[in-house]
Amino acid sequence: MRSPKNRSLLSVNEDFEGKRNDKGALLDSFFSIVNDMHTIASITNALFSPTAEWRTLRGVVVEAEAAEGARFLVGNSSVVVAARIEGESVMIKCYTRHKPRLSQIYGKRYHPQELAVYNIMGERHYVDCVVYPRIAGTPLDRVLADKRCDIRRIANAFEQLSRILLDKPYAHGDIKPENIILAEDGQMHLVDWDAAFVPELSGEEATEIGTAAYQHPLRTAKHFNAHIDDYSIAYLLTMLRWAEIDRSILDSYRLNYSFSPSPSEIFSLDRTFVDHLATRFASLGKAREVAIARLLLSPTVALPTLRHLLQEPIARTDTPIEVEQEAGKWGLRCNEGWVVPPLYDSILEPRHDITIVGIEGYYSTIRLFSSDIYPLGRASRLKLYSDGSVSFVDEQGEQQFVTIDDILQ
Amino acid sequence: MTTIFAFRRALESPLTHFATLHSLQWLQSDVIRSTLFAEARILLDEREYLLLMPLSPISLRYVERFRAPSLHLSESIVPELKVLRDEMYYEGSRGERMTCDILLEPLPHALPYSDAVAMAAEDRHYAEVLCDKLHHLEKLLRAADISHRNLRKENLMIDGEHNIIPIRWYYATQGYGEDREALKQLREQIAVSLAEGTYLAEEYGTYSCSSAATAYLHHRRMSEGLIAIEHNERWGFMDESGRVVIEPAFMWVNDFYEGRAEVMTECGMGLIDKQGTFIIPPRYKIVEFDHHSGCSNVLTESGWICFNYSGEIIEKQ
Amino acid sequence: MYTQEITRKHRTAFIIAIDRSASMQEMIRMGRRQMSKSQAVTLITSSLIQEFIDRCRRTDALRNYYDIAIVGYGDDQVEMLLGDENFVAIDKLAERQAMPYAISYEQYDESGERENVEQTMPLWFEPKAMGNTPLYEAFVKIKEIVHSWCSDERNAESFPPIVINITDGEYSDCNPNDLRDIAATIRREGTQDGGVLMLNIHLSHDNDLRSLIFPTAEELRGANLATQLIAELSSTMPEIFNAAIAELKGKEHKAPYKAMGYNANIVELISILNIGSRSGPTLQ
Repeated sequence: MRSPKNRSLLSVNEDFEGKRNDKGALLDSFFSIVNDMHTIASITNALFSPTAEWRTLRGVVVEAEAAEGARFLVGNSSVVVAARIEGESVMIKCYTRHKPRLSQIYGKRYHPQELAVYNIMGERHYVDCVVYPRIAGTPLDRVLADKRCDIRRIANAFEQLSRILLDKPYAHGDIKPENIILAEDGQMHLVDWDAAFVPELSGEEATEIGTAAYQHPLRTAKHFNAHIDDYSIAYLLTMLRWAEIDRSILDSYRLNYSFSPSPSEIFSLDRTFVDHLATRFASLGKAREVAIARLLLSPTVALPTLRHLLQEPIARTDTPIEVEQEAGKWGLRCNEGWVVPPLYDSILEPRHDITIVGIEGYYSTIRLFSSDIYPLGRASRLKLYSDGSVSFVDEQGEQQFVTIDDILQ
Repeated sequence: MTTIFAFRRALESPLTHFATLHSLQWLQSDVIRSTLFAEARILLDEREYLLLMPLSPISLRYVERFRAPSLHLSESIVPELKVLRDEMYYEGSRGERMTCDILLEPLPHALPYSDAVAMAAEDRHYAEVLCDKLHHLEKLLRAADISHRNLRKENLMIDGEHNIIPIRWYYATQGYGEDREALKQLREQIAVSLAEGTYLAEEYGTYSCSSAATAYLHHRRMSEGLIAIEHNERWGFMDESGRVVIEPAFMWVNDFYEGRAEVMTECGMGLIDKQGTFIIPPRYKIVEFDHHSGCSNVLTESGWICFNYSGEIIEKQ
Repeated sequence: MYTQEITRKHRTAFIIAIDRSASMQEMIRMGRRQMSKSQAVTLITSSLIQEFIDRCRRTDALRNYYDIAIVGYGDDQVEMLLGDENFVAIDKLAERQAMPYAISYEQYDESGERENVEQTMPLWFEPKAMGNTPLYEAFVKIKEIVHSWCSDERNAESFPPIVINITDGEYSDCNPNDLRDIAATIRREGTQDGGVLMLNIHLSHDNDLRSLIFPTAEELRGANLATQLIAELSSTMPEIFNAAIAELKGKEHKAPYKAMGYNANIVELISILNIGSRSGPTLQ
């Protein structure tokens, strides 16, 4: 049984598959005056003025604070404020310069040439705006900066977000903690879709290639398709899972405002970093994390297998479960799908919903239909008994015996 | 830097404004200015002098280098120029007491050369005499191996024996040869002023020009991208490629500083910008641009007034 | 080269040098208003500094992406216009109170009536226009501060400093060769990511002369000596700026472009400043 798709997670993107704003497309070509750059001050002056001039939006009331302690938020080429439009709570993003494709990306939410601003010459110009629903939450970079953050919850939420995103025909293009909002209910939402790929833009080149600290080092403008989030997801997920087992990672993040090593540093360290991290994950029985970590050395920017790696196992089945192989890895499969995904070098037939798996020389017992893993380390001569208990010889050569109660604890 | 304003004040009260020249008497109450100096005629110990106050840091450059060799000259066509260090007192922009050097040039007992030219126009014999005297001057310069470099009608005097005596020696340098063109022109002027228009001038060989500027008899150094040039006794400006940017129409021009230059016309002094447009119209006795403040001190019939950089009156002094 | 992004770890520096000589008293039009070149440049530079500050704003704090220095030269002196220090970090600058300066413009209200609106913008230093143009001395000062910034280990990998010089006239304290030499020593300073970028912008005083903005080698051929000298003092714009410059100039002028403007009017000055400060590496 699959987990239900939570539509509200990506509510900002409803209009992706919606109709293109034709007027926006026309204006795109008309207003190719890239050099018409406006200052943030001129836009905020206009926004907070009692006589703000909106071309099409009506009943706009800009709020005093966009977020705690900040009148407005600033992006690379935008200013964002909180507002109410005819009673509805929204965020309004105003662009300091015209950007192409916003109508294809944001659809009806895109309002070109919407707000009047006055430049230093006293001339009136209009800036483009995007309106989107307000999400109550905190950007992930701020969450991670807090020493008390629940990293496991965060990693799980990000994994869930990734799972949904990778299933879509579009991509965000600039995944990083700053662009992820952790809502009060624990859901994650992506913001700032300016670098997005949508199917309508197939065949074109990217105008922005995301943030280097979260992108494949070889990514260029030519890489512009539904796979542009693959590497960022693999990287960030790996870092979050690593932080789960070693919190000192977050100290480094707080100090440098980015994770270390960066993607380009990972490549320049050859295999050593990835091998080391994979071994750590393997020793804890985290086969999926091993596989994703190994993807960080991919020679290709796209990671087509990532989507499969993130697939959730079947939650419950009454059909027979069998050991099966896919692409050289072993798992347990039933009629409805994978009960234990094919991530392992070795696996045993389950007894009492317990099985033994091996990855890169490390063994663990897994309880089916749960996330319980009991690491056994570098074991040998493993035996799974009919009551679900396990005997093995550990690294020191000592005979060990683990009962089903130990495993279930 | 010094100003004409300060110069006049000093001339009016020499006792308190000069270190040693307390007894000078200012003749004619006019101050003449050129690019390098402000000049006044004075009487000192019963001798007439030109009292010259430098208007630019480079004003005394030639004089300082020239003086020493000239002391050895047997022919005394070169007067004894004296540089009096820290001679004149004046007030700086913040009210502090400043000093500047003064150049003193003794004047010969002689009459202006222009009087002689006027006579030559009516008397052919005299014209020939004058030409001879010009030749003689040239010989003296050659023998002394010096160039005056400023030989113009206004800078010549003529004594009782019709000898032509140059004054205003502050451009002079060692090495003969730079006065050739000037002397040629002077000869031509005499010839032309004769009724029949017969040329008495001799050719002394062509003068090779190596740059656009030397196509003009008189030209000065480049300042702010423009070079002051003289043509037919009128001054204008050209750029470094030789293109005339401001037509020679002025009796005199100063170099450009901070985009402004003073000019002298028949109707008076004015101030122009680098397009030749008048910022201050040319109808004043003195216009003195202060490139420190951007303002100009202007002497009118009724006293001094002050203009701003754009040519608007800001105050009466 | 010139690929480093601007982050809080890899910060960068902007040095703006401003001519404050008497010729900057000349009046020009800025939109509907008339003011001196000096006032216009002061307003524009102040606006740029404010933009730098605003771009660093985030919810938690101001991100310290930049070091800023403003050098004023005129009247025989070279002054640092943001106080006694050479560079001021952007977060420190944001804590200061700038002088408020009111700009007014007309706008139409909902009923179509014209009304006068006043905006206050921060002025970070007073305009001044006096005396001569000691450009050589200004360059000497710039070299000194750039050198000390580049020598700081923390900046070794950063995007190199950008120097923007705004002048309207000729220098009065040296000859062209001296200027070429000192400008070359400034451009030789730099970080591992490249040499210091020098942009020289000459403001117009002759509207009949055409202006040259980020000229190509082709456009510089046949230019007058003053233009060529400015070109020799200036860097070549790195690739990352090319797209924005090409948009400004049009497709017929292809990179590389010189980092300069000659005979630029006020609008062109703003365009050059926009590209030099905002079209380069993004803030991360």
